Amino acid sequence: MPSKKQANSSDNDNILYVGIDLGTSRSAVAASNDKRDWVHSYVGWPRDFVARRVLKRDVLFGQEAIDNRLSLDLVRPLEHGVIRNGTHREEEAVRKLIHHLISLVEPEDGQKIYAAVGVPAEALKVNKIAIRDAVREYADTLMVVSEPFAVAYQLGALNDALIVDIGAGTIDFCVMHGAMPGEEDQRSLRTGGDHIDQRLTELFAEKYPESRFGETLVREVKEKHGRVGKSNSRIRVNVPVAGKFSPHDVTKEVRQACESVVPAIAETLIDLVARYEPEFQERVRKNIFLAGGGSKIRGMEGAVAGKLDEYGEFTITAVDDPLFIGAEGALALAQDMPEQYWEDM
Amino acid sequence: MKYSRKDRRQELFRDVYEENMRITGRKDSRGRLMSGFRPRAGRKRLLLPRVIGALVGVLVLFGALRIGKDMNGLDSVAETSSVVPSFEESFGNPTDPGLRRADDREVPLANLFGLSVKTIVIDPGHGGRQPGAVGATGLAEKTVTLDVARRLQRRLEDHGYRILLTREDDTARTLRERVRFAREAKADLFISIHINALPVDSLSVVETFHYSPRGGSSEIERLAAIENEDSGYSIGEWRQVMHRLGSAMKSQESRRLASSIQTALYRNIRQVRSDVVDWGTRRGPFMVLLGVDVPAVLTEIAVISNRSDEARLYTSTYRERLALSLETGIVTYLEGSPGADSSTEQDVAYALKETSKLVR
Repeated sequence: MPSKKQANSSDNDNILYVGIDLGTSRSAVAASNDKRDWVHSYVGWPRDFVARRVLKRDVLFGQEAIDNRLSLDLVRPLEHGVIRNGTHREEEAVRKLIHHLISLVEPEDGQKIYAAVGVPAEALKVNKIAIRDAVREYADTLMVVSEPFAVAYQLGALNDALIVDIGAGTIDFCVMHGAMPGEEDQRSLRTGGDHIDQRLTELFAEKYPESRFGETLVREVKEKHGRVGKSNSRIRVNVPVAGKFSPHDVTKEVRQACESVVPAIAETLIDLVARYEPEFQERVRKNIFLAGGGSKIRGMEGAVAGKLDEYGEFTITAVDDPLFIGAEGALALAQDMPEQYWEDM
Repeated sequence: MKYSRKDRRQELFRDVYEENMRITGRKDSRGRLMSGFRPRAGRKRLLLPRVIGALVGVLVLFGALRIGKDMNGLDSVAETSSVVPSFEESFGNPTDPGLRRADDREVPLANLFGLSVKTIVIDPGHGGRQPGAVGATGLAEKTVTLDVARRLQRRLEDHGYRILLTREDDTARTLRERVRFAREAKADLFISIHINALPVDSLSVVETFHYSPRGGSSEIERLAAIENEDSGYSIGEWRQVMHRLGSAMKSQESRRLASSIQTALYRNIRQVRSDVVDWGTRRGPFMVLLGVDVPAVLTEIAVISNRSDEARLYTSTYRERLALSLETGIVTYLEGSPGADSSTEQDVAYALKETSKLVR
């Protein structure tokens, strides 16, 4: 575990280090004052003056925004790991979201904010200046890093390791070999959690054409019951059919949708690992970590390892705290970063 | 020499720091500029041939315009390139929107023969281990082309077309694989998206290529040789492909598609950056264009070695604008809708003026 600066040391009294994990589905924040929090990555603006009067707010975030979505212009600014359509509205949503995240860790008046932001690997390539600009307004100094790298940092897996960050928009792969990962050490697939949701919706519609499975319900089913591999327990959900709620068995469909991402993960792992020297390959095989919301799908690590059986033994571990590990890693990096670098940045 | 864990960590901090400094193009603690355009191997283009080509192009086009005026105001056909129009081109309808009169729109092929375009294959250039051109702050061509391709896909799908991408993610595809993909998908149109890199970083240009078996200038052929690297074709197979290319129609339609795209691109980009230069449409023997049997173009939508272009390419708003421009060009070609169809003579004059500045 990296050694962190003490937040209460005299030099750093007036600095609040903040680590942010800006995700497609959820965003998390952790700070050197030991506060941490998360929100669904949704930003909503009241549709008209009536909505504004009812909601008594100019902008809403996360679950509250989802709950009031009928009164809001709801924006989920990231899609497939990048700022969605590039409209000003979406870039503004990123700004608002980051401001909200920083406010959640309650910086004191006059306290300097040193922020490290972990973003999906694709966004780091495509949106890094937009994201920097979004954070710049609210932080005194900041750096942007890729999410898998932040995860690796928190795990202390900086060498001979491979991080698979199964996010909502993308699945990011990052090989760590003791140096900052370059383009050739990283891969990104678009088949993330949103892809599973889409597949689930299709499968549900095929099996129960009369029933209505909303977007939120589909996501909840995946997050609560998501699993791969065989299981004896059944998954049943109550869904309205012609206005009346009735139970639906979705066991097979949930498994099928969750398993749909496994082959691509396994293939990409092999393709990426095979590019390195045999000795390094051997060490990396024993150090593969699954992070991101998708790593919470039960049995995922076993399923990926199983798919890789024919290539030899792989040790795949799901991280303990997938929701916060990216933010905690970014925070640790922020705290460990030498002061002179911060000053320059 | 073995590094200690502490050394490694220090090196990592340094890498993170440098990466972030590169993003903003600022100097590091030692006062070094964190930039330095890194051209990809073999991709560097020489300015001199460009300038000579441009100069010849200027003279040819100037002559063409003069002749055109002498012929009772009839505009003649020319491409803003160093290539003298062929017999076939000269006797066809004026094809370059930049030189076409507003009331002289051509009937699209699809309308003429009652054909419908259903499937469009978009080819985001490079990918995987082939980053393409890389800008000063590290933005890679492959990243931008994929992002613009995805945006274009979304836009064209709204028109009811079936849109397929030769790559959906950051993976390497040989040109042969891209061509095979287009064939198997039964593509009706093929659009390859690329970003340029030039040794003179003050240049911002847009240009669009279409295949012509006669080839273009020697400079274009050199460029084609670079873009055709690792094509995956053997010489024997290449000959077969050449035989397949029997249809002049493909060539003509590719040229019209290129013109439509180039016009929309230039007009749209000029709204946000007045210094962009229109290098027009040109023909070039790019393998990826030759291999497919349908109208096919390769468009260079920006110049990543230009700092200002690179900064813009980072913003999703600009990439969306590029996708919109391509959409306008393609839809105008397909549906013949007015609005973005032709440049005025002033546009061409402006391009010539800008190009002539390069010569000085």
